[in-house]
Amino acid sequence: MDQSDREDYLEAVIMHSAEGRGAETLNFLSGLMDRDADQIGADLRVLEKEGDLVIEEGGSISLTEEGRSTGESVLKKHRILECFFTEMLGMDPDTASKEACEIEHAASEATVNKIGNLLSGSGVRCRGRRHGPGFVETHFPKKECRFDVIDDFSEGDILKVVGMRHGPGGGRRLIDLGIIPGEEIRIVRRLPGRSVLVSVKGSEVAISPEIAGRVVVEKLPDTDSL
Amino acid sequence: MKFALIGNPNVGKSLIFNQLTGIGVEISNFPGTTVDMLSGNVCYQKERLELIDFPGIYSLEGSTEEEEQVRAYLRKNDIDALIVVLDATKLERNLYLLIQAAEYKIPLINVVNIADEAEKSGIIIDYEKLSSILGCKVIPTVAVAGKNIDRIIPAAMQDAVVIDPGVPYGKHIEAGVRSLVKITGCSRMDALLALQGIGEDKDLMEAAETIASEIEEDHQMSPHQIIATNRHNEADRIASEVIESDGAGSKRLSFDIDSLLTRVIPGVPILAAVLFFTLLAVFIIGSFLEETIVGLFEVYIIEPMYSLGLSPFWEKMAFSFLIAVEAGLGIAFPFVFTFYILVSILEDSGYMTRGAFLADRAMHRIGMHGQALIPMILGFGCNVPAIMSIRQLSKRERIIASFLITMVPCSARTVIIAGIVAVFIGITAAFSIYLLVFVLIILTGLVLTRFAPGERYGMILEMAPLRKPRADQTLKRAWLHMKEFLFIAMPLLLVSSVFLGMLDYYGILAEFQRLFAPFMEQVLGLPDYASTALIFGIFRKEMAFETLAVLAGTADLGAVMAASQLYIFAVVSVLFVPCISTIAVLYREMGLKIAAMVSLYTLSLGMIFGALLNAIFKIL
Repeated sequence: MDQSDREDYLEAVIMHSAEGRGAETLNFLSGLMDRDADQIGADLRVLEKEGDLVIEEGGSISLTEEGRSTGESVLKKHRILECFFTEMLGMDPDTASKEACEIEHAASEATVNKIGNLLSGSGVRCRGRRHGPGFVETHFPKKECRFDVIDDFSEGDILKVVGMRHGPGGGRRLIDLGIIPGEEIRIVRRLPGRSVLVSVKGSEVAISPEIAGRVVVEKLPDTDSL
Repeated sequence: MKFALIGNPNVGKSLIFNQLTGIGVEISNFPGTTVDMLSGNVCYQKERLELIDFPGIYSLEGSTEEEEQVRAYLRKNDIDALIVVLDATKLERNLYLLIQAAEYKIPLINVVNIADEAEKSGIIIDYEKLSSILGCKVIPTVAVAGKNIDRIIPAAMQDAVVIDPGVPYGKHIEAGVRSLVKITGCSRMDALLALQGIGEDKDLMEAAETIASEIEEDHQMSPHQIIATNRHNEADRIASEVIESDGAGSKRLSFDIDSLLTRVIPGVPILAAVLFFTLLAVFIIGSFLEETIVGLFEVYIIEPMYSLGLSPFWEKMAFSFLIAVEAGLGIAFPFVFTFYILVSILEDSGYMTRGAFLADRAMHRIGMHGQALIPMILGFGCNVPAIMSIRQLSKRERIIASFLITMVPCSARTVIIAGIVAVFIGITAAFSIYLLVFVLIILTGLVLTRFAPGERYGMILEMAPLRKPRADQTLKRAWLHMKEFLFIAMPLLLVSSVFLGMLDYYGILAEFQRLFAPFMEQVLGLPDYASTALIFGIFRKEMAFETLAVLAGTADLGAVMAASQLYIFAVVSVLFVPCISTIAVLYREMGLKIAAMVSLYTLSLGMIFGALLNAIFKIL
């Protein structure tokens, strides 16, 4: 088994808490990894021999310390890379996840950590969330990481603009109207269709949902000032 | 001397322009565009001055057509003084444009308008301080009351100076600008623009692109973002130095009404009611005026023409020409102009932007966004100005809008529905045609959303302040819409009408009618002369109705055609093929392919629904 297969296994075991599942372990992993149960069984035995995990009686597996730290490191790399691709480069989440799956095995932890620092330096926070509708579990489930945008808040909230994600159209107009990093804005109205009316620099600006979904913001505590 | 007014939309610039200029205002376009530029003359101390009113813009570095045109005009450098009009209630945002304008090194003065409203809402501005910070003349005005307007021209003549706002753009941008100036020998202004991707000089743009991408790599921000942010910060700094908020009455006057208008309830019902009553009013006023105009025209112009005893050919030509003028007047003033006056009231009052906000979601479903609501509504007057107003949309939205606007029942089609269906069948049947058309528009939009190429942009639209519309402003705006109808649609009407008259004279139309008679009778269940009427309808929609009456030999169509036939005829002529003027504008704005596709689509739509209705009526 090559290194990237090994890392994929350990990553999947951690992410889907595949430990202690007894007899269904093989089928469970088979569903996640898109391989048949026999192959999985053989692979697990190889991993056991390499000291990454222990196959217990009844079929449950548990990770050794080394296996766990390898898996966690890969998972962390994946999250950072995917976040970088979607939030900084504006790639679509599916491609971002797929590419992250490839690169996570090749890139060193130190390099990926540097990317992570860059992200937090530009005010981008990555976190897992939103396993809502439309979520399709494929080979590897999407590890969503995104940060807050105008679209996530409700009427009356006062927000501070942090940045802008790439996307088609509208960038210059937003900047010209004063929606720039550091600016405080207030959501005046939010329609059920998710179009919003924000107050910025003394005027009210109507913004379509797809654009409101690209303006990265953080919420400020409510005050009466604005 | 030549002065120009520049400012954000809705700062009262046009009002100032109207007060400064007397009669003889000329509305001209920027060369090769439809962007309106007003120019008028001002007499001051026996000197004649030219004053230009640019369209309202938010920025000189944007990519809309207006912004590009104003930029191009400023760079020609033949303006003696720039009168920058700012809105006192939004001083900070407006200062951003002033800072941009100052970069052009044109002598300027500042006019801070709406000073009274700012004061009422607790914004106290220290105008002297503003003047000393900026280093130029600042005149606070209240244009609605005419206050201080008389000080503008003398100040522009004597006190206009080039100012240097000295915005710190950061060392990277400054270094970039310096090296561009050194490499290509361009001006600082050119270099700043080039870094933001604006300019035509190929060498300069290439060099700028390299530097820009280096800067972007270092900062994670494009030069445009960096420059804009620094300007906003500068505007913020100036504004905070000169504004003293007393905190009293910080709520805007229009707050309460506004909070009702932008809510789903009652906002959406209000929007629906406003649109419905606008159309109803046009319907009623229009029908009344049209009858009067057409009646007078018949008695005083058409009949005298026949009594001249011209040769048959010239008589035919004269008739074709006059009937086109008659129809133009009969449609233009009663329907189109009435409609545009009402729409202009909605635009001027600031209501239209609220409507666009509310309609955003619904418009998304049919592939566009809130801003497309305004062109769609304009389409009810005449499709021609409506199509000319879709330039602000993205390519994809323009394609979708071309199809949908062409299907919107314009005034001429209203005449058909009113004249044939409402009169001979009933008002319910007339409304059922509107309903059918609306359903088809929505379905077409739903389908096009899936197939139209290109990226979807969203809406970013500033809400215009709610204000009482003013008669002169409203009339001017209505005239601007109307102008496109008169200067683009009308000449085509005249030419096509004369052309059609010729075809008729040489018997080509009769041949045509014979050719299509079987189709008309079998498939659509219409008499053979209906095909000629439909052909006339391509030239001018409402002519389908008039021609039908002429060919049927009676104005009482109910006597010669069954209700089902009249209904089918109305549906077919309302749906099928836009009129020749619309096709021409589509061709000009969108190209041959889209114009052909729209025509073909509507043609098949008309035929299919005509045939379908015929089949249904036969079974019933």
